[in-house]
Amino acid sequence: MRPSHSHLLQYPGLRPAAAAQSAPSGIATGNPSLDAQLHWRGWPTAALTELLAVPGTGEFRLVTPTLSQLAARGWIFLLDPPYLPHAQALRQVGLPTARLLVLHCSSGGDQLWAGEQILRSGTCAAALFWEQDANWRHGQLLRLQSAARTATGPVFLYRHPQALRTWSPAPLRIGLQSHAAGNRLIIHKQPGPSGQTLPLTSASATALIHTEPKSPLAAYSLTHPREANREATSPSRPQAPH
Amino acid sequence: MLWLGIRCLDLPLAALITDYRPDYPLAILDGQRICACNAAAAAAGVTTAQPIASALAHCPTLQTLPRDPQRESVALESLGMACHNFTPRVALHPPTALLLEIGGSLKLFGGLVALLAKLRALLDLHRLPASLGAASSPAAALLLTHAETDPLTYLDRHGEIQPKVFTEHLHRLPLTALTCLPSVRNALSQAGLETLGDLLKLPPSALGRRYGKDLLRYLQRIQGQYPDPQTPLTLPPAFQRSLEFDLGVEDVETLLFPARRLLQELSGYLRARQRSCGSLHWQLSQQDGATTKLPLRLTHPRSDLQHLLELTRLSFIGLRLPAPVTALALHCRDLQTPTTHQSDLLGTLGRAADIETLETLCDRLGARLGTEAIQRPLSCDEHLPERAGVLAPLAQGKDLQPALPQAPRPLWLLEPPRPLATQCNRPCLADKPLALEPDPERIESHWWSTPTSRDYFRGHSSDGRHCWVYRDRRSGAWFLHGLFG
Repeated sequence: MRPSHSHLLQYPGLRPAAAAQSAPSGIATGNPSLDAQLHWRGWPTAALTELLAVPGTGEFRLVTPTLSQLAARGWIFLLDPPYLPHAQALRQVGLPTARLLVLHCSSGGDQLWAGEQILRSGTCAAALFWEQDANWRHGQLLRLQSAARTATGPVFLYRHPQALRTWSPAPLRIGLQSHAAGNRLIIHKQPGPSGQTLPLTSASATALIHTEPKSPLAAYSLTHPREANREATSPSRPQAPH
Repeated sequence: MLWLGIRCLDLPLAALITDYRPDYPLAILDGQRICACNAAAAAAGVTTAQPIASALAHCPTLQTLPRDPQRESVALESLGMACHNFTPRVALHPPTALLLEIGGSLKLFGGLVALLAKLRALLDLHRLPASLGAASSPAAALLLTHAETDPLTYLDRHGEIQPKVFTEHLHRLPLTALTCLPSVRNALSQAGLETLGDLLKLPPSALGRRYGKDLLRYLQRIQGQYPDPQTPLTLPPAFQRSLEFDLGVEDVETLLFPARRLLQELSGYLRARQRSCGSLHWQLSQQDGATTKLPLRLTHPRSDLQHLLELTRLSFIGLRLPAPVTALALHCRDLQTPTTHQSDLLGTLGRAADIETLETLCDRLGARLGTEAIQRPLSCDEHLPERAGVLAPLAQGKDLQPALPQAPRPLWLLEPPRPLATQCNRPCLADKPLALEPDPERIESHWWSTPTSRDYFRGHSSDGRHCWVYRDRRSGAWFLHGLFG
């Protein structure tokens, strides 16, 4: 008789291997080729997503299609954004400004506290954190990740690219890098295969999404030179439903 | 109708000492007699109504304070204010008693036992030991406070009077309890009467002839046979209360206890006036003469104690106290008629319950981070980008959603614009010239006050950033105004 392991399933990080075969559902990123690369087939909900980027490289536009989808479900909180979010630009990318709340915290401790309050309140559709000058300590990241588990939507944490060198509890880490042929997106960490890159097209061109509705998702295109090899070596990874 | 009488036992002492319980023998003097003493003094043999000389003979280390009737009446009034949390009908009977009509509140509080437990917690918070009495007539309820038995002995759990036990208790009361008729009381005791039962057995007509009409009326009021209207406690137009501490409070956590007491009074006040408060003002006076003012603004007017208490706690937490606090004051002038959510305050779409949760959250965040810390983006009908998109405090401004410009705007705006160095007439970011796209957008505005004329370019920096830069056409200088995030 095999002993029952059902009690182990109460731990948030554990799941049966059988369940891992079917793709867990995330929230669509608005870019099918990025969705196809992500373990969750979109942004993970109730988990921390780290975005390692310098402001101005297209890091906010990466999430705006998801945010405009989620705005109907609740409020979107921006905690300590590096610059002033411009209302006209937000409306141009299709975000209802009435659903956005911007918070300014004087210290990292306050930001963490406010984040926990927001994520546990149940009114938050998505939360975006910008790491303040002082790097978050491991304990703080763990607290944020555990608060993110109680959230109903995705939780994004923007950090400086240098933070990639340190360990993080976030199940998904994505970096944006400058490249001669335009900026690239790299999936640094996720359950299953990682290391995929996607090119991002010019920022100012994609800012026109709202005014030119015919090409809303043309901002990205998939290039993955190693993909064929990866598919051959890791058969466990399910094929993206197209 | 069920009236509950509350008689404060140590009001002269509690009114003078609010912040600590002295462990040394302490008594309050009314002229040359003791009118109240603490447990240490009572253990040494000091009793009320004792002359000061004999009290000192019992307890040579006895400390005394003169009685302050002014502070006693304030203390009784603030207790009355807080009692509005239980019932809208509160009447004061100075110097030490008050009456509440609780018959209508029993169901709301889940029965008499629960209500009395809450009331005792309130009395504890005010540091006022009290004896309670309950009856269907106000006069009997006040009289029964002298019985020093719990009202639950003659009332059942639903607040119904058990006639037999009740009459027994009432009749057993000593005639010394008739404090309202001091002259008659002495005459009765000289006639050999000891208890109220003795008095009620006598024929009323004979009593009236001998002791006057007042006694008859009083006995009729006790039995509920004569009208006994109660004057309700009058409420001031604005709430303003303060508590003074003789020793000074040094840490913030301890300060929350008196704060809770003041908020409970405020909550009773708001309930009695059927108002909600839009903002609170705390004022902390310190020993060095400095005062700290803590305004608390609420997103939506509220009146519930728990929410106000939580906000107060959050705003007190970050406080640094250089000197002990000697007085804590609470003002509330911003009283509003309570409204329910119809069209919401934040100008958004959403269910009323969601908005209430959001407002609770915003209040909590505002209490700790400051009310200005929460903002929302607003677009305005202006040409200059820095005026067309701003961040406004939560309660201010309405987004009129003006028409959007054709050209894309950057998600991040730098305010104020950052001046850029130039190399060979080209703007540079991090010492490298920017690659600019052709076809600039010209924005001109404010010719009537500060004429502004700018040519906006989209640029790419060598490190992969997409910038929005402009050349000021008047000075020729370059500025970085935004980033396409």
